Amino acid sequence: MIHLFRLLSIYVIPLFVLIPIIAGIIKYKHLTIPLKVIFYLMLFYAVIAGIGSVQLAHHISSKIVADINGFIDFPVISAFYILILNRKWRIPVIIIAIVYAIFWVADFFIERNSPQNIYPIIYESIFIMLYAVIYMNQQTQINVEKRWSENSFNWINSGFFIYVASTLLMYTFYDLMLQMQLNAIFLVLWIINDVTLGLLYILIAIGFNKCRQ
Amino acid sequence: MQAVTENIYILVLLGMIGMMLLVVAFILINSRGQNKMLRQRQQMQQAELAHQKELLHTVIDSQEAERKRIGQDLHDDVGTALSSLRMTIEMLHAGQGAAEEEKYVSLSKDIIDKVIKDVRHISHNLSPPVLSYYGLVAAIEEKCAFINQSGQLKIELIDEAGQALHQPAFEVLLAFYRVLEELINNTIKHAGATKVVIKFNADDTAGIVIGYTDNGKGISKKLQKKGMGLQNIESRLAVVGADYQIAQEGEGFNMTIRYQPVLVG
Repeated sequence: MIHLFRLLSIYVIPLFVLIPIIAGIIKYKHLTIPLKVIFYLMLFYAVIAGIGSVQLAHHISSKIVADINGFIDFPVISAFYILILNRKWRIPVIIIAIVYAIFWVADFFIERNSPQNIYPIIYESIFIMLYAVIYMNQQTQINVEKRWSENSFNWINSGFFIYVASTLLMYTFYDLMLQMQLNAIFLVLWIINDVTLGLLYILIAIGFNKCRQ
Repeated sequence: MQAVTENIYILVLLGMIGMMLLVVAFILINSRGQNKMLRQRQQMQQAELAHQKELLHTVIDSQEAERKRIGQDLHDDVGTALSSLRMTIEMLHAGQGAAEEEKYVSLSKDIIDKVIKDVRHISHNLSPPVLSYYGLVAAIEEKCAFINQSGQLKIELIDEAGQALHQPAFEVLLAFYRVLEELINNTIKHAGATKVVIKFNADDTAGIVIGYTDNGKGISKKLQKKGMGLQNIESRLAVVGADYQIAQEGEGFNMTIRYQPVLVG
């Protein structure tokens, strides 16, 4: 089980980030601004995944890399949703992103002795789920011109929604689980986390692919 | 302790799987709903397009029918009269007596008078002069007076609109005139009615309201949708921005036309 976990976490899933990056490069000239935001986020994830994999392979703590990821990740995703949601949601999303930044800085000191800063991840997950639901509700209010599957944003939104919803519980009880004895089920939880992350990358790649001139 | 540990892990595992399935189901339901709405909108748009095409065909068919009628009138009345006139003039030749000459001149004048009358009648049908000089109510009054003379149908005209009917543009009044003309023709041809009431009303909220009622046998729902005459009426009213309603209850035929004048200011 631990070998499967290491294989997925160190090699397979980090490589999956190349799928949306390649799709983004192929469709780059057709990408709209929100999609370019996600494309650059994928490039950032690739760098973080690369560094994280090397650290994991050498049993080095990846807390700093995870912290940097957390600091950049949510504001960029918020920027994506600012661009695709109605104007009336811009100010609330900006406020949420600013509060997150302040909370992240505070948590940096609160959880400085913890193996991972969990509170911002939970905050991030809850608000990304909220953004996703608001976007889906918005789509039901407007007169859509094309099928659901032809809209790039639907795929990307679904990817984020599935990933954060699936991993929210795990991160909520993460500290508690860490205090307990490590066992196979804990590794299964991480494998599920990795698989949903891989699914996120695939859905983003599909979203890029749906872009047409 | 081991059992508690494993319980928490299992609960979290089940929770993660449950959340994933819930979100996936939510997304699938949402996508199906959107696709269904899109399909319904497309179907409505296609139906509207088909309806507009049908209306256009009706307009073209009506125009052709009108041209055919005018052509026939010109041929049967004016053409025949002019041919008779030519023959009459040919009979005039030098050397005939004054009485003979007088006879042919008088006959020629009668034929010319008939031609003038026929041309006036055709021209009147094309564009009634009373409408442009005296307005809609006067034009309809003239038409009603002509029909009332026959004795088979009595048309009553009630005008409570006052000056409001002089405000719309000529094209709008012409459209109303043609619509009422069509309704009267339909009543004469199909309804078997003995009485028609045409009422003109106007106020600030409803705009101009024209009511048409006859005591005939009414109109079936099928004819409401397919009848060329009603399609003609619909397209004429749509062009000027008026709408109409056909009442279903009661006997006979009842139509209300509403028009809100456009304020230019």
